[in-house]
Amino acid sequence: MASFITSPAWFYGIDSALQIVTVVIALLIAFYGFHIYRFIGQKKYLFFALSFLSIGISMVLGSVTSFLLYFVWMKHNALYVLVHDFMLFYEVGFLSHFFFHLAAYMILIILCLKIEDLRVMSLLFLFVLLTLIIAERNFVSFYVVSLILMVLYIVPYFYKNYQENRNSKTKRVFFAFSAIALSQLLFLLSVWSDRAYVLAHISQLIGYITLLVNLISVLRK
Amino acid sequence: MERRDKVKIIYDILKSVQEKGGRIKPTHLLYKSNLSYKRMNELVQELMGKGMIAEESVSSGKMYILTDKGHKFLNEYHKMVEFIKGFGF
Repeated sequence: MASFITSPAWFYGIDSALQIVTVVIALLIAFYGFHIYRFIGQKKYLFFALSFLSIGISMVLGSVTSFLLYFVWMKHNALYVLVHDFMLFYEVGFLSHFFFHLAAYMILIILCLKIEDLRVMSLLFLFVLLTLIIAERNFVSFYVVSLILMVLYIVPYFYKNYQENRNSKTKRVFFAFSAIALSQLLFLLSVWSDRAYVLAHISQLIGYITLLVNLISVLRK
Repeated sequence: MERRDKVKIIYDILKSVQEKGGRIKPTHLLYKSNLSYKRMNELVQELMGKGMIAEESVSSGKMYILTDKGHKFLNEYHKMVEFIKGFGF
């Protein structure tokens, strides 16, 4: 229940709204990714589109679950309502959110590491399921795993890409994923500080807005 | 795999025409596209069918002209490659 309890009261609902913005951005990138796949026909572009589609679905599930929880919380202002009537919905909502988020990261790692072996891909998805089983008992583990995936695999790949091709686009992508990785760290810290929860959402939004700027800068040409 | 190669070849053909100011002789296109005569002819016919290039008769033979649709294809392809290169994929 980390993400509910650690949110400051004034931020209830705002986090859902911020997540909806990221949903729109992720879906726009996914849509353009599908367009590239249809045009060029390489599977890696389908994977690219699917990773952002998965992020979009994850954010919708996270946002809707959070919003409904706040709605119930504010209406009844009692934890027993959550415990007795809402716990199953809460767990299913957030576990689905975690699943799609981790699946998106795994697809990005498959692209970053240029993995083509189906057995390795299935192994990675077994890892996602294992993380979900752990996350079912302790939601914090989701943020720990997300942070590890970002810091060890995804961000270093985009940094290397920026080093090898120094231009505004590679720089923006590296910056965007660094901001998203930072948001994962802040979500983790939000267990101890509600300010970290607010900063996590802001950092995440900055990351996705940077990706949107990148997309717009290409499409405007 | 086959489709990817074809899209890239089509891009290279259209780019060759564009680099020659939008008009190119078949012999120059054959040289620049690095394809067999038969394969180049097949693709040129396909591109003409799709309206991306047009044929124009001149005193020395014929020329291939890049159409607006061809320009749009090149522009679209270039945008996509530029976007995806930002991610390094």
